[in-house]
Formats: sequence, C-alpha cells, structure tokens
Amino acid sequence: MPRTLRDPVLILTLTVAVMVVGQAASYCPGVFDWEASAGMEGDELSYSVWSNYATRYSVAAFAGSEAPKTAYAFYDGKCGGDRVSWPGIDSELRNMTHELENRGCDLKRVDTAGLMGLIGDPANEKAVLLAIAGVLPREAYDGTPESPLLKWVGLGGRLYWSGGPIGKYSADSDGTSVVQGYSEAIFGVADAVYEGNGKSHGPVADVGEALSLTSNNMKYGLSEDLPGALSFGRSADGYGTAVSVPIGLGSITALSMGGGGLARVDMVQALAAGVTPDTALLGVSHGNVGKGAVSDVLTISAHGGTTTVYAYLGGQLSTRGKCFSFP
Amino acid sequence: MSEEGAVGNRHSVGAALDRVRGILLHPFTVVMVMALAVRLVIMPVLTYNYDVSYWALIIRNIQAGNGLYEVSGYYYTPVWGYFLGAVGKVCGVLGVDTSVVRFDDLLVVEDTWWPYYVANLTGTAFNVMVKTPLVVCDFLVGYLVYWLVKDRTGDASKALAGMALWLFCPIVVYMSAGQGMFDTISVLFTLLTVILAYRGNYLLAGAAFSVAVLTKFFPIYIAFALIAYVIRKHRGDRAGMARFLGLAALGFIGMTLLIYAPVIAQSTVSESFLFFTDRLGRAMYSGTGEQAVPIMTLLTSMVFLVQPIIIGFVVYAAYRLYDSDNPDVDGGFLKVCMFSLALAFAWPSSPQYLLVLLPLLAYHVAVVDGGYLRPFLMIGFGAAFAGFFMCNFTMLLSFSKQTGLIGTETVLSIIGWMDATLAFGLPRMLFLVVAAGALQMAGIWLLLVKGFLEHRRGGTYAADAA
Repeated sequence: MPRTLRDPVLILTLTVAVMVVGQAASYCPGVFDWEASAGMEGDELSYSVWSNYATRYSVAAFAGSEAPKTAYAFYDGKCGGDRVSWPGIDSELRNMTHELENRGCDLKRVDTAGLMGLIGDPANEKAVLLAIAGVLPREAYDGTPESPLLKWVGLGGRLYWSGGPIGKYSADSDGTSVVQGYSEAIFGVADAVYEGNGKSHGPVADVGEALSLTSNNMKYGLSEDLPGALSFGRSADGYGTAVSVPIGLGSITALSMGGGGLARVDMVQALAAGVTPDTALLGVSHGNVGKGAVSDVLTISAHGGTTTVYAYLGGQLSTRGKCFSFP
Repeated sequence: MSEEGAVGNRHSVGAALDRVRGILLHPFTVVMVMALAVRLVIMPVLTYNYDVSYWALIIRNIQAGNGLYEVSGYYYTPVWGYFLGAVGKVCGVLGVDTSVVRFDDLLVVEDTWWPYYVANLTGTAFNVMVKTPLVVCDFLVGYLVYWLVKDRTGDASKALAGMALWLFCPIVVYMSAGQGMFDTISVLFTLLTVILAYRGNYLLAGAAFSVAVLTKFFPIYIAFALIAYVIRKHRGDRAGMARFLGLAALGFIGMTLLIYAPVIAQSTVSESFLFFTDRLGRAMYSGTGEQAVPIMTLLTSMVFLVQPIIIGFVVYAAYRLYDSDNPDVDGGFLKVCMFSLALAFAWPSSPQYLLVLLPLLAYHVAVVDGGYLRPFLMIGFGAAFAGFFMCNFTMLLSFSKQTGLIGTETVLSIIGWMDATLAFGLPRMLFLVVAAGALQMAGIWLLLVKGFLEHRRGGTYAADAA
C-alpha cells in the first residue's frame, strides 16, 4: 500500500468502526434496558424505575382502568377490498404488536371468522378488541343495534377504534358500503363522530397528560357530550381526539386519526393502560432516570376500587411500559 | 544544573514553543479552528425540528428494542440509523435526554402551508449530540479534499484552498451544523471511494462505495465512472482488469452484507428501501390533502421521468473516459465523477443532496480551473438559502424555548410572516425558496454547460496534470 494512502484508510476504518458500534447498539439485546416495580400501602404508592440509559419516566395511577394482558386486532385481507386489505393496515398492526408487547400486552390478530368466534363466545365478554382499518365486517356489524359486535360491546366488550368514522363503513368480500344512520345506531344520537379536518390547539386532559398523549388531529374523534363519555385527549368544537364512551356494560374508546406515529403511540398508551369511560387520574409523577434506579412514594387520592398503576419510559415518545393492578 | 545545561533546556523549551506556535498559526490549523468555531456557534442555535425530532424518534425505536425497522419510523437504508444508534448510546452514557416535547403553543406551526414543520422539540444538548458526527464528517471530508489536492499537485496552498472551500461552503455548514441532515456521511464515503479507487485499493473502494450508497443513493451515479476507470486504467491487462473489478465487487458485497446482516435477520429488508419506494409511489400517485404536496408530487414525478436521460448522459461520460487516449486517466476519472454527480442533480433537487457534488467541485476549483468557482458559489449559496427558507424560522424554535434569549412569540410571528400569502395564493417562503433554488439550479447548469463546452473543445481534464 502506498504510504500516503494511510490517512484515507485510517478514516475509513474509524468511521466504519463507529458505524458497527452503532449497529450493535441498535440490535444487540440488553444495550437499552429497564425495569419497573410498584407497591401500594394505603394511599401511598411506592415505585421504583430503573434504566441503563438516560430518559424520562412517568408513573401514573388510575381508578377505573382495566389494563389487558391480551388484546385482539381485527385484520382481514379478504374483507372490504382495498380499504381493509390496504398494506398500511398490516404494517400498522405489526407496529402496534411490537409497541404493545413493549408495554406488556399481547396483541393477537383475528380475521372475520376469528372475530365472529371471539364475540360469540361468552368467555370473551370482557375481551379487548382493536380495530384500526376504519371498516367492520358486515357479519359482525350491519348498522343495526342488534349487530353481533354492538351486542358484544353491550355485554361488556371493549372496542378500541381509530382509522375512520366509527360504524360508517361495513364490508364483505364484495366491497365496502356506507351505513346510513350509523351514529344513531351506535350512540343513539346523530353527529357523534367528527368528520372534518380540524385540529385542536388546546391542552391535553389530565388522564391523557398522564399518558403523554400528543395527537391534535380531530378527524374522526367522538363527541364529548355523549352520555358518560370521558374525553382524555385534546378538545375542539365539542369533540375530542381521545374519547371513551360507555355502551351498556362495555365501552368504545375512539382515538382520532392522523399524525402517523403520534396517533399510534397515543392508541397503544391508552390501550396498555386500559382506559375506560370510568378512568380517573389518582396521581402522576414524571421525572428523569439515567444509569440507575429512581424510587419514590406518590400519595394518591383515596377511592374504593382497583388502582391501576402504569409506569413507562420516554415521555411523549414513550418506549416501554408496565402495568400493575392493586385491588 | 550547570549553566550550559540550563541554556540548553531554555533552547529546547523555546524550540518546542516555536513548534507549537508554528502549528497553531499554520494556515491549516487556522482554517480548521475557524471552521469549527462557526459550527460551534450554529449547532445549538439553529435546529430543524422536523428532522431532528425524527432522529429522536429513531433513537426511541432503538431504545425500545425494535431496531431500525421493526416499528415504522426509519425509512432510509441502515447506515444513518446505525450512527443514530451510536448517538443514542453515547447520550445514554452521558445522561443526555433524547426525548421530545410537544409544545401546545407551537401547534400553530403545523397549520402552515409548508407541511414539514412540527411543534415537537428536542433539547439543546441532544441537538448538539446528534449533529456532532455530521460535523466530524465535515472535517474528515475537508481533510480528504486537502489530501487529494496535495496528492495531485503537491501544492499545500492549493490543498488548503480546496479544503477551505468545502469547510466554509454555506450549504455544508448549514446542513450539518444547522438543519442536522446526514448527507455529509455519504459525501465522506463517496470521496473515500474515489480516492481509494484512484490510488488502486479497489477492495476498500468497493467497501466505501457500499457505505456511501447505503447512506444516500446518489453516489450510485459514479458507478459507471468507477467501472470505466478500472477498465481504462488497466487496458490491455484483461486478467488484472477482471481481478480489480472482482476486488471492488467483493468489497462492495462484503460491506453490504455487514451492513444488512441484522436487517436480513429481522426480515425487514423491504422496509429499508421505503424512502426510495415511497418517493417512487409519490411520483405515480397523489391525492393527499396537504396543500404543498401536489407540488412535491409534480417535482418527484419529474425527477423519475428524467432519469433515463440523465443516466444516458452519465453512461456516455463514463464511455468517453473509457474511450479516451488522454494519458491523465486519474484526472479524467475525477472529472467524470464530478460531472456524473452534477448530471444527477440536473433537476430541482433538495438542497442537501448537492453536498455530494461539492468536494470534487472544490477540488476542480483548486486544481484545474478557477472558472469552476462561480458554479461552486452559486450552488453553495443558492442551496443554503433554499434550505433555510424551506425550514423557515422554525430553525430557532428549539433555541428559543430552551434559552428564552429569543422570544417564542417573535419567532412565531416571523414564521407567520413567511407563511403569509404573497401572490397567486402562495406564501412568501415559497417565492424565496424558488428564488434561491433558481440560483442553485443555475449553478448546476452553468457547471454542466462548462463541461459540455470543454468536451466540445476536445476535453481538457488533463489540465490538472500540471
């Protein structure tokens, strides 16, 4: 090698070495790690968050939440033509599967037959269903209050929804059709769904703030005036970016769409923490953790039921979370 | 100690001080220090939140254990993602917060005509950290320009001029220290490819070319010149020619496998080409609601439509190199590489893409013909202004929120002024971008016309042999 080529070769070697170090940091397990624990004694919540890198942590305590260990996601490539089999849905569900796994929740996919089996089985009365395609299969939902899906929700099922105006479209293998009077069929009132393109510049409600929700796109958000509704995101014109509405014994929690990754993170945060219309914030603590553990005690508001504690890292770009339940 | 010993010590200390003074006041050091000072001022003050908060999102996905592609967010080929992985780890060790905060009072910037502003801000320390590898690459490229000019001419002052042209070029300073876009990494490996090939180390040249192309695709345009150069340089030695091309291919494939190993293991190879396929998709379809997107769709469609013509010219330039009897094959290679990259941007490109052309253009200004200075300056200033006007004064939001030295209301009012309609229902910022972009395009076309006229005169790339 000519002597003068030493410097370019050295530069190449060093920069490739940095790249390889970054590659290892990106893919080797354990490079970025964390742990969280919590305990309750009376009104005092003691928690500990450990991380081997510097980031933000949050610990939020809720009443009325029911954090699921398993959730089901509807996806059927043969249902509804382009609208439901749109490749973006498959990709987005894969994203959500990883995101929820990082938060201690297993997401299982069901097609139309799987969905019918799920909602038809009394053992799944309290199950959690995620639907993000913006369309429901006609077998499960035909726009009448007697639809199997709505009956399942009424008996205690929990539907988390985004991706379109809820109930407006139903589909089968022949394609998608618009359901007339969908708002009345589901919520008993007209115009329950916001179908404009507005954005909210308002603040995030306390439950959403505790979960670090960020999206401000109003499209397909639900009315905050629905009976028993909990609006836990941002608001504009009487609608919310994140609204949970009681339907019989169950609930529909709809998050508005748009904003790409922001809306996705909002959804997985809400689902992982088990937000329901009864959710109320009991206390929250935000802080920084870096290369060690942070332990503290949070005094929370007294209440009679189960306390759900949701600890997570990353602030508004939350990465991992863990739920604890204290009867 | 004897008097003689003391005098000797004083002399050796004096000589050492003189040496240090000589190094510190050496023009090379002065240029480096001044270039560093400019960047150190800009790095914390100017930041394009749309890009930099995105880099924080990629680091967030890595921290979550999902690598680069398991969760959507990173759309480029892996190299820059790996650098972000390293930045994320260093931030973790140093206690630098990598998180993003979405400010409610900044949400108005997301309602402007240009859809690429966000209310999401990263911290100043993170902004500096994420730009640090880019600035380091700027300096490595500067040194390699110095090395190349000195190697070709033996003239340190010309080498210094070439290095200074690169280091103080406005678009170079702005992209790495301000906007935080990573093209300078691709530039570094492109220049390494050219240097290693020209000095006959084809294995490493192939490896460097892989990194260059897998950082940003544009260096691919010099592939034809590389092949033509190896064939021309070893004309008459078929075995050697095949061996050297084989070595280059081996280096390229080996490095590509190294880079892609974990991506292949996770079966996410297609995701790593989303930036390219998304652009291709955008060229073929439109229909989003964003106001500025139809213009972007039109431009992207145009870029893909003109590619056959551009590639035709690039192949022709490589053929001329292969076919030439000019004894200065190395000079011809450097020139054809430069023109191949200039041809690649014979359309209204994003300002950051042009960085890859500038080191070889700086070399030609310093070595071959001062007439190249005019297109260099037009590209350098035009692209820098175009880039700044695109990002608008959102560049100041992070600094404003973190330090309070500039009022956020003031910054928002300037952004509002830039977003106000000037004519034809279009905002003021767009007219400024178009004006600066026209200067940038004029620089590219001036360079191409100059190259064409030189070619008509019979080719003069051997001028640098002097």
